[in-house]
Amino acid sequence: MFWPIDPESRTTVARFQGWQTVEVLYEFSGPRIFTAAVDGLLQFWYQCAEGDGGEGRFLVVPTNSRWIDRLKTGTKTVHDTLSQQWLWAVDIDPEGGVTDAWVLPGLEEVPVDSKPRPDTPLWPHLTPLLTYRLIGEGLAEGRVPASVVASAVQKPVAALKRLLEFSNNNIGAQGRPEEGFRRLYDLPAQRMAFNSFEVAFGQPEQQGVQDSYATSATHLAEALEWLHGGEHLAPVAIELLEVLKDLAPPAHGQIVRSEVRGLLVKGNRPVVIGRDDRQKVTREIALRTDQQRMRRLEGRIGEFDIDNLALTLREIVGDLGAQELRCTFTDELYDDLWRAFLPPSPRVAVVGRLSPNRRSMEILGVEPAPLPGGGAVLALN
Amino acid sequence: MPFPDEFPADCPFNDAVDCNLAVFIVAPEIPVPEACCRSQSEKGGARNARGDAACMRHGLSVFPTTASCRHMRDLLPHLGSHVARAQLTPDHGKVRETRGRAPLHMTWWPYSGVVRHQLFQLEPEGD
Repeated sequence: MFWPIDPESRTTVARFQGWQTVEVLYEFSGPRIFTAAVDGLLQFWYQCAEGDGGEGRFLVVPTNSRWIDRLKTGTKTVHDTLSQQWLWAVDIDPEGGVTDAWVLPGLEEVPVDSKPRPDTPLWPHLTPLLTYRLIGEGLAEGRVPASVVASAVQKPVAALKRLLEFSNNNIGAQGRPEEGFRRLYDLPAQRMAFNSFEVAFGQPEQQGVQDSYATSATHLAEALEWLHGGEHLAPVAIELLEVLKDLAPPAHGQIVRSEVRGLLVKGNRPVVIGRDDRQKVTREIALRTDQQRMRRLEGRIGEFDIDNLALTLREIVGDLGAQELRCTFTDELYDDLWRAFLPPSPRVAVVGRLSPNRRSMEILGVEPAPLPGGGAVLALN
Repeated sequence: MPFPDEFPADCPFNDAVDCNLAVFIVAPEIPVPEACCRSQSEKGGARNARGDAACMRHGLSVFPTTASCRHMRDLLPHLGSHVARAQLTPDHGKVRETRGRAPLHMTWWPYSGVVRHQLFQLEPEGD
């Protein structure tokens, strides 16, 4: 009735006799996943098969309360819990009596339909909003370069920020984001895994944000459909192309593919993004010459807004067609820009990305600008 | 309409309400087999249940959302790979939120004669 197990691995049922339920973790028409105590030792029981007459087969592993707490917060999955050296299959009758038991060599020996999907949390509300995985040769626990770890965290956060800005009409890098908006994309890193390298971002704690994510999920689905669809599909907005570029693997290096899934991804099924996908995105961005927004401008910093990480660039020299422009920047550039603001307020050259309405710019870099008519450049520091 | 004779007295609970909602289950195939819509009692389980559990074992667990159903499909794949939907009406019995249990779901106590499995149809994959 249940999947066959090598008779040679049969073990004594005495090991599990008298089991007592400690805590039911998942119940649906009866307990499906729970902890149990046998001779004072805590075990984790997972139902992997069920008969028509109420009999069942369970995968059983030793566990402890600390691990169960991590399971309940989503930092560990059920698959993680079962992936242990000590793994048993235990058959029980409808009254809960143990009828047979086997020692299993590992979870990989269990049929795929008899074990949880690797990334499935214990409860549905623990499902990550977004899981981002980087795939490349040689990535395993203890051998993940810091650059890969940084990318796995920074790229999806940047993509999510851009996606939320687009979806919520909050386009244009408004300097220091309002705290509420920042918490929409600066999500808690719920779990990391070394199947290549993966970071799962949990749902934010604030209430009432479902609409923001629902719209973003629709736009992300639109972008991914364009990416993997035929040439007949209408091109997506350049902002969504930039989201895809954030999520795509780099064009060279150890990482060859990325994968996204989670509540933000339609159907919560993995979507793979390869280097050829990245090429498609960058080709499409290059075609949008009328929408290209990178600029290099020279000017003087006339105003400096400490609270909102913004400034006004004046006496602008460049192809902007305006004499002054509001600019925003990140903490990393604060010191250089602040020094450039202080007297004697030297001219600076800034490189950045214009907002789609061309009314502001996000500064990405700054350096001293040549003095008018030539001459020595004043250092920022 | 009556409930099955084997229901305990005062079952279902007084605060169970007439069905009037869409519910979802995981099924191994479509059309949904009759075996998918049996209660714990009908499957011979929880025979020693007492108190509220003695009534709960006569109900069917159902989900009020597809998301929870799809999560269970990934968590317990031996239950099936299809999500099925039924639109329950007052003619189909009573329902109540299953309290104190994770994950959040409902318990449905069908009236006698309701052909439960035939109420369900495949729910298309989507959001």
